[in-house]
Amino acid sequence: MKLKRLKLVVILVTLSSFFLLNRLFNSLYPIYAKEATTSSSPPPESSDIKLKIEELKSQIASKAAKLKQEINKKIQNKALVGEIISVDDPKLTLQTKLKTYTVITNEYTVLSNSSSNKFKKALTLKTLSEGNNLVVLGDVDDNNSLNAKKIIVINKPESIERQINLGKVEEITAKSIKIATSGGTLKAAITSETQLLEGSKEIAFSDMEEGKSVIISSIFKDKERIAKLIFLKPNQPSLKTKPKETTPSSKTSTSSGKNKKI
Amino acid sequence: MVYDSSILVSGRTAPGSTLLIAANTGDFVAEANLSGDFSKIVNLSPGLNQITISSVDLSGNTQTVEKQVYYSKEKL
Repeated sequence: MKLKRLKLVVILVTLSSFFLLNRLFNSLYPIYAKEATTSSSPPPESSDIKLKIEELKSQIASKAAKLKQEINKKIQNKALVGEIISVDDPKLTLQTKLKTYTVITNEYTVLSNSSSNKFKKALTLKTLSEGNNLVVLGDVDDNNSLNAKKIIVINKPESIERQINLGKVEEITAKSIKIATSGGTLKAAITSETQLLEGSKEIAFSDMEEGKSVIISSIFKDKERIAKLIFLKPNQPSLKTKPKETTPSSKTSTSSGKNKKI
Repeated sequence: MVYDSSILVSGRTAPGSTLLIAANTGDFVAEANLSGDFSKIVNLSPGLNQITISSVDLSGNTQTVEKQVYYSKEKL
């Protein structure tokens, strides 16, 4: 009799603990249908979880984008052009037009000469010295350090002083052109390399008339200003057809608004 | 650093401006449209190319930008 009671109690305790455990499990891990039902409103907990998942997704996406941006900012594949200001093997200090960079070399860095360069020694890092001009390819970080993949020794880039002027033709011969600009008269030599353009087409010197508006690109070389390009603004009325007597006294407004006699 | 023998130079400046592009291979001209946009294909020579882009507006004001491009025939 006692044994029967004990059995009954054990069964009751087992059942009740199973029931309690089941309730607890369901509350911790709710079970949802695999397929969406047609019921108009999902259970409130389900929409909360979906919202939280979406929130997390967007947070992760924005963090990933920020990280990517930072990495890209820190490491950039670049080519630098500059002059060596110091050598401290395996590092070089390179002065570019804008910044000073530390170039870090390693056993995989390839050294070569540009085809036009006269630097004909067997090229190693030890042969490089202050004043050599280089093109360096590699990854630059945000501390202005570049891990060099390739170094090309080049000749010193030629410094050309170029001038651009807008003005009206005062005089033109086969050898030179004189134009009236807002800052005064500019005279430039014409060489076989001087290009004459009207719009996109090449023209002859005979097409260039006094009084016409031109833009001249010129360089200063061997104590002389040389016209590299003379650009005649297109669709300008020909001045040759104007009556002769009006031309000498006529005044033309220059680009700066000042009147200049032509 | 480029591997093609030409490069597209483009940008925006004052509308109606004339652009003079000086490169190792010669001088080129481009005209900015009514929005100020311009573009021009410029030929390159192997090695370092210095490209000077000068914009001249209708009043004669000039602005210049200089760029350096290294053209390599072989892939590095």
